[in-house]
Amino acid sequence: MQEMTYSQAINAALREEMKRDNTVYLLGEDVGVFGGCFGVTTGLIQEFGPERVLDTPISETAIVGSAVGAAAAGLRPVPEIMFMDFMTVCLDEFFNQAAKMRYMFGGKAKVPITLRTVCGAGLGAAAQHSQSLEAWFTHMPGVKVVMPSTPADAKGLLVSSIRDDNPVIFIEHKMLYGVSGEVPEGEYAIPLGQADIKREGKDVTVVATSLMVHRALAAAETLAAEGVELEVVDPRTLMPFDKETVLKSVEKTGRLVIVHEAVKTGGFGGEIAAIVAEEGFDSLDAPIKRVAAPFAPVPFSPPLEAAYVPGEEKIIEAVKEIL
Amino acid sequence: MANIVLMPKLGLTMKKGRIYGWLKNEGDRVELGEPLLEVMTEKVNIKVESPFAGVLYKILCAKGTTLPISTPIAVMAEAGDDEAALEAAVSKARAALEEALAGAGKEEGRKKEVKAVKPFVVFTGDRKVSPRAAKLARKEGVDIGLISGSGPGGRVVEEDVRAYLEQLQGNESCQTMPIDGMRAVIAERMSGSRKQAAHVTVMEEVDVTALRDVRSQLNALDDSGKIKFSYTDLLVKFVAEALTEYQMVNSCSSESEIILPSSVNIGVAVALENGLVVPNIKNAQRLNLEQISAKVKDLAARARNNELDPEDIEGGTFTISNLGMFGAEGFTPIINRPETAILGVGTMRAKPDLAGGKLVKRYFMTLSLSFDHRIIDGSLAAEFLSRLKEMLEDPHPWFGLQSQYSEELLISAGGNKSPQQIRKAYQNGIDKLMETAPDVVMGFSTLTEGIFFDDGAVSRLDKELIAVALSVCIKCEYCIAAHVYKAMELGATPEQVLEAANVAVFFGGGAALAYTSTLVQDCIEAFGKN
Repeated sequence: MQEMTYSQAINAALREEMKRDNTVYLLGEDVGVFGGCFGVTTGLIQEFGPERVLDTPISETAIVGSAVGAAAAGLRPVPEIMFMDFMTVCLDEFFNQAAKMRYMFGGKAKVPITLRTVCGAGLGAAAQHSQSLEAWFTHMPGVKVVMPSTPADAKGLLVSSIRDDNPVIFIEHKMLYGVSGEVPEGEYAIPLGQADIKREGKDVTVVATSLMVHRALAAAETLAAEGVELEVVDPRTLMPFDKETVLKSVEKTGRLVIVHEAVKTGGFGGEIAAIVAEEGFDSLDAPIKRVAAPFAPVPFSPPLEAAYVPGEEKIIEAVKEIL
Repeated sequence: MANIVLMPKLGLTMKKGRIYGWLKNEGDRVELGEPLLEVMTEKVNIKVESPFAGVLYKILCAKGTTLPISTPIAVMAEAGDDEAALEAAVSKARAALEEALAGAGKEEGRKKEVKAVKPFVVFTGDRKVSPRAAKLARKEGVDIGLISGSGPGGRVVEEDVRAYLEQLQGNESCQTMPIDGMRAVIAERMSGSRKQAAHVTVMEEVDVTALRDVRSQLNALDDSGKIKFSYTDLLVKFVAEALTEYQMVNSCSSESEIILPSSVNIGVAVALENGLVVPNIKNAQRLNLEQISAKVKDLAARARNNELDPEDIEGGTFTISNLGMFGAEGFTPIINRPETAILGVGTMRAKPDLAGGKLVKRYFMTLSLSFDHRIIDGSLAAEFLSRLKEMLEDPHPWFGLQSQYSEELLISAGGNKSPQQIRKAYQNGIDKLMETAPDVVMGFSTLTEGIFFDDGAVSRLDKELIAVALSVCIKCEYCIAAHVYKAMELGATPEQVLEAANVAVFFGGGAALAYTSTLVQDCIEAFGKN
């Protein structure tokens, strides 16, 4: 094991996969000489040269459009969209082209794109640079959605994403880049569609994603002192979604709280709640609770932003409501 | 030596006082008897004279604080006291002050432990049930309609179903215990007595208001506060006295004989964890109250520790069984054979009582006398019980005491509020006003100061009598209650108060007459005994 930040883990995964497979290449705004807006691709242009680390013009459409073509032609592009909020610009390329191609050509075409992008509030970057839009992409048959919460998960899941022959949107959280954690030595991959129980408990299941995993763990620590044991489940990938692990956990605890940073309305929490209501109804001893951002744009003001993003207290409150 | 100044008790009923202001500053020299501070009680301000001579070293409680009596409020230094000793005295006094304040709070906070209530299920109908609970109930074949829910909004959750199942299982396997040892003895003696003796029980409600007064007076006699007479002690004493007058009730019997013992040996039933024993007090008729009290305590303690000797239990001639502490009103005790009578003591309760057209608060207790009708006739038993009642209701002469009990009038003859209630309402009102508008209360006090609270050309008593007359004249019931009380506290006779009121009638006419004939007379009666 080695200590590594989330950002370093992603960088390491990119380096390893680029070394392993020379069809893997990076492209995006400032990913080369500048090393990426958040420094994630630092050093890669020096190591692999400008042909495999492409600094592109400011055109999301061009970034994703060219990647789709390259992927169809046999390369494994890893485009970066600097802020997830800008995905709207290139949505047609991703949604109508990348996501549909393999299906429409009867499986004859592969589209191995891993689109790295960044979600989340916390930097005071306001309503157009802070959103968590993962739910949109879970609504696109043909796309896999990955949301790692720890350095180890980020590395292992990125490796699997790059090796996957389907379009994957790999959503990093800007507030997690500096978070350190233990990362296994050497090459490893974490299969997509496998949830991880980050803390075991018997009283309430808390399903949390990305940054919210850390908030849920903090809540679990606080509640443990009061004798309430939370089981924190991190799905890690929303598509495919490991419903078995969640259902099994709810069968054990009888209670479910879902936490995500995206707005509650139309959020992926609704999907998880529906799965449990449909398939785990008899396990439930209390109504399912969702803890999420209010249905509003992310505020710019730091105090308002802090109030907007779900925190430990809101999770504790929700747990107590159903105990 | 450092001296600690306490909040003084400035009147019989004073429980707490408010520091209206300090008349000396820290560091001032104070002579013995020199005014040190002003304390506000009820309505009046009183200048408190210094109980010590010396230097006012430390004021512990600032102006405006309200404190229970006997709480430390200041520390005074004598010449030659060193700093360290004074500081030690200050911290000691502070600790006592805090303890007193904490104790005052604790008294209020002390409540009987309340058992949690799990509401009964009334209807089988709609009930919120969690899916998990419903599934478990289906699996176990339990009717969910019978289970009360403890989840949010009263929803039946898994835990409720499990608890219900456990309860059902618990009912199925009951616990069995052998009837042996003490239980076997009790069983044999109780059923034996029931079979043998012809049990009849007579009951009487006894007014124990006076007995309460006697008990508190007797308990106050001992300065150390160590001797505390219980009602059981008093009952033993009076029952022993009554039994010497009614020897038949003190008798024992066999199948063919009635034995009249020469001594009165009163048994007191002591409840133990798994049974009861009845040790008796030998020759109770010859013991004084202190001896009886000591004996009762000794026997009860040894009974609980299983240390009684056979002679403690043998030879009883009469038994007292007190279930009052458990709230029992009256009951039919079983005679402790071969005795022929037993007295059951019920709980003491305050009840409104109609006395002379007034509704007053008094305390009652029910005595139940079971007797063996083979030996004792009903008329004799009733007579004995009435005699006991008579003694208990007028206990003062037996101890050479005077009644200090002042009647708590609930509704006076005119059907109005009692003088005590009027006074209390006024005092409470002043207390509340002191919180919200201290300036008004302080201002009023300052206004009357000097004119009212000292003897001048007119004595304080005469001033109060003038105030009585004025109160009647302006027809203010609160003023009447306050000033009649004060006048009588200062030693006014009922005649003086009435005459003052009658002067007001001369000026005030019919309305003043109405107040004099009702409230003034009620006040004289109510406050006269204090």
